[in-house]
Amino acid sequence: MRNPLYKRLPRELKKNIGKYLAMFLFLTVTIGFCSGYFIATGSLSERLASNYEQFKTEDGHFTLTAAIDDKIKDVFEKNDADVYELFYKDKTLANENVIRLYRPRKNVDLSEIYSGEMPQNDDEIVIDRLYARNNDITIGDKIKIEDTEFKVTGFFVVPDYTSLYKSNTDFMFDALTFSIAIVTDEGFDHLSDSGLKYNYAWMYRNRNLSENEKHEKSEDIVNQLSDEIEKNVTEYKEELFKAIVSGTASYDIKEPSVLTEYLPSESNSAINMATEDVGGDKIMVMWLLYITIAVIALATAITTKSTIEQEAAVIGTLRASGFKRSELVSHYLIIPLIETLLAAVCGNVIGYTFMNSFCASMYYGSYSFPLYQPNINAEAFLLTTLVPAGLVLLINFLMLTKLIALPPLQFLRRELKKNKKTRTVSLPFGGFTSRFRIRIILKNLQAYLVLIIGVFFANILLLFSFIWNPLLDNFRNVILDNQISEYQYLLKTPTETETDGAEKFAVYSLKNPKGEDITVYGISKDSGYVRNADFSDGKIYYSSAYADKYGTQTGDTVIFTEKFGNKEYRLNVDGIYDYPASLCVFMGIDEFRSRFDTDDDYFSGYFTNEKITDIDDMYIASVIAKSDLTSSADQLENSVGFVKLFVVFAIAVYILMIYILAKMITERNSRSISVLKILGYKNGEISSLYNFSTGIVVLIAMFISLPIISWLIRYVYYAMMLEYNGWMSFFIDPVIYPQIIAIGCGCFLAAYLLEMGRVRKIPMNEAIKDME
Amino acid sequence: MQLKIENIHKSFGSGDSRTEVLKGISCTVDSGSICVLLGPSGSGKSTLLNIIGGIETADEGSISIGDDKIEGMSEKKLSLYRRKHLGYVFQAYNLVPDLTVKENIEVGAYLSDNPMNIDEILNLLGLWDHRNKMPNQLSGGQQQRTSIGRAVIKRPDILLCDEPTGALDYQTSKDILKLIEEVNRTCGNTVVMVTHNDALKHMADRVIRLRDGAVRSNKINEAKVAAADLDW
Repeated sequence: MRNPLYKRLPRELKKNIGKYLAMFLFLTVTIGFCSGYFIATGSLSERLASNYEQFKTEDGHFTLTAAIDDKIKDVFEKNDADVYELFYKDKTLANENVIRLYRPRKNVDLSEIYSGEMPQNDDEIVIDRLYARNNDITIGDKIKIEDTEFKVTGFFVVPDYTSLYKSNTDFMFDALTFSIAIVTDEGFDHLSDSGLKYNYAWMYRNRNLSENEKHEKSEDIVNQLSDEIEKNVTEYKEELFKAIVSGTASYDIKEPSVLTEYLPSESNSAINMATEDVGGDKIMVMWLLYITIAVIALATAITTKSTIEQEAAVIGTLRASGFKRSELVSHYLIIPLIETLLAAVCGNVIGYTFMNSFCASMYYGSYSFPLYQPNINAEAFLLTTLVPAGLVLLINFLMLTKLIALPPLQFLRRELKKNKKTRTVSLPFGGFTSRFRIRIILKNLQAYLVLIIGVFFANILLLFSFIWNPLLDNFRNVILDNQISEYQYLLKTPTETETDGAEKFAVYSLKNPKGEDITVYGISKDSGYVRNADFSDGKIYYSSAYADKYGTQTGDTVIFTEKFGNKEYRLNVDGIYDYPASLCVFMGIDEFRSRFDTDDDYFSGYFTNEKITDIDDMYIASVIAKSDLTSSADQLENSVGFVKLFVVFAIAVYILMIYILAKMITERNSRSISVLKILGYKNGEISSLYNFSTGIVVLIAMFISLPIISWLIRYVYYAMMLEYNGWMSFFIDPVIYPQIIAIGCGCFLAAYLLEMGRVRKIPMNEAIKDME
Repeated sequence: MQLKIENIHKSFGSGDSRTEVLKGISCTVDSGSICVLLGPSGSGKSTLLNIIGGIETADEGSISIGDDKIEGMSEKKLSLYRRKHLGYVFQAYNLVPDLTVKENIEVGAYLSDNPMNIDEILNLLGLWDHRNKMPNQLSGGQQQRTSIGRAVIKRPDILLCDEPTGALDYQTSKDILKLIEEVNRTCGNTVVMVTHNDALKHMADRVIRLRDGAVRSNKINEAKVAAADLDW
């Protein structure tokens, strides 16, 4: 015979339809979002993983100052790797955006058309889909590069630019002002060689090497390359010296090719950032799901416990009649379990039908992924169905087995607490109302603890979604307030200018102990741009961004190494210079020349507030302007737009938790409420006694949780930023706190009104009925 | 089935506050008889009933129903013991609030491999017309009838009734007592009924009086009267 107690279930559902429906919808939407998310990220990850074989992703690339020679080629040959030409030209458009142009790719980092078609004619171009979207460029539009008007024939993706990093040392990719493009060979040749980079990609012949093997090989290659290039430079210097001594012309002596960039794919953010982001976010979403489920399971457990307390005598009778514990546990477990499973099924349907495309679109707004094709994902099913159901089962099972384990007699006597004699807390202070409310809080402490957990969780979501815009605005403002100059011109070779106020500086790139690229500036004497720093006696200053990121203090010494070599540089910290834009070190230009063994008149570029017009473009390596300093913040703002969704989610958590627990407290105290009505209390007064207690707890929870969460988010932020190149200072706008408190209070008010209705419905004979 | 109670001792508390509630109770209740346990408040009658019911353990002594002894039984075995041998009726009815009258009785039937016919029980209890009502739609007497139905449908060897009329008015109490008597006659269960109403002794086959945890008298009632003829 089927357990007749199961016949209660539909009635229980009908009786508490509001509670179950709210929980069901919340779970369904959460699971739907997470399921869609896991399907989307699973499909994207699979697609990205297949890029390596299908689109022949490079194992690394390097850039030389001139075309490759045979000796360098031999280094790769010895290491079983093929080298392919992947030259590009960086061209600045009229709107200051930069387009990186490539020839059509045939052997490595193959391109895939996203929409449209590859260029056929010399004046046709394909560009990155995301850049096009961000700049409202459609197929058929024209882009003027130098004197040629290129017609956009399509949008494409390549595996070496799934995120548009202009330089690997950039803090953030930039799909707003930077794009890659492909033109025909003729189109490429037709453009001037300014911005031309002798870039080469290599691929190991064995495509099945492990990550470790690839890493070891790339280390070997860079060491051999450094040796080879050093040899070339020495030979060049010797030949040059001989020529000068012998008085012969030195024009025939070919300048050696020098390595300016060496980037194995494992360290290439443009290749890995998207994959890592997808993987990293997955963990975050997984935790979001599990915390939500755990909070819901706790709320369910508390409400079930309350039901058991109310039905204690019935349970005692059933146990005394021979019902087994397991039968009762399974009876009380079945609704939350079925609800979770049903929500999981509906959530997965939502996930597979449309939510996965929505989630994928969040990534397509930041990365240049190939065409999206959702795949069936067993892991998504496991993570969004079995794990949540298991979690609900576990939490409720633990609570139920502990509670139902009590002897039947205790149920019959309604003595469900371990300590039968609860010590009465003395409340000598406050008026009747305050003491009444405190008693309600003390009586329902467990339920309120779950509410506090819910508020804590909701506030994490709110704070996380609110901090970004002010943080990025603050970053932009701080950067612009502290920028050294309007423009920083980096030259390929020292060239003089007559520009008013232009000031020479030298620059060199080193690796810090964490392997991060650090810029070392040599600042001219009596600089008009880097003020408030005394560079006399070889004093060295670190930027505030560096000090903030690595906790460096005056008096410390940091050992840097060369980017492509092992030479060490010990640089003392004589002061911190207020420069939050980048991780860099400042020293006097003479100190710089002496430390890096350069000519006495060596310099690398100019600080200037005016545009330099008297130096030919071909001598300019790059120009850092305002937009370059703030581009990372702009891009990040574009990428974190989706976190605003968390606000909706947090509000739902707030209302749901307050609603479920306040309802439970009202129901648990229905007899007392009925007695109060008999005594002559008005509905409003009763509601203010019971529901206001919930409001007090919500407020207390908010005031306790906000400082803890702020600290927690600051900690996570710092840990997260340490993984990135560069630095962005943490900042919480104080305005956020009242906003969060207002949302919390608003949610409480909504739940308060609902509960007022419930209090109104409790009949006066409730008290009499129970005492019959 | 015969119920045998041997030397039952039970104390509550410890040290100075230790109170001995049952001081070596021994008695036997014959199969199919009605036994009334009488005594003032605090005499230990409810504690004894609970020990018979296996929901409280004795410090010493044993309870046997037929060949089954509950001494030293695990909680799991005690559940099976209760399931197999016992039916419980409480003063407060303790019906499942979300189940109809019929379904509440089915809850008892579920516990038995060979339950009685539910329609017959409903008719016997006079609940046929109320079978689809919820407990909150019933009077106290109707609720108690339902709880008796729930207890007897599984054909328990022993029906334990803890003040079954304690919350009912005179006429309803008499109706319930008549019903218990009828159930005892029809189904042949042994009935052990705890009450403080002295008048109920007349409907019993055996009357056991307790005072201060000890048996003051244990008599067979030679002048048994029908429940319908009781008066108090």
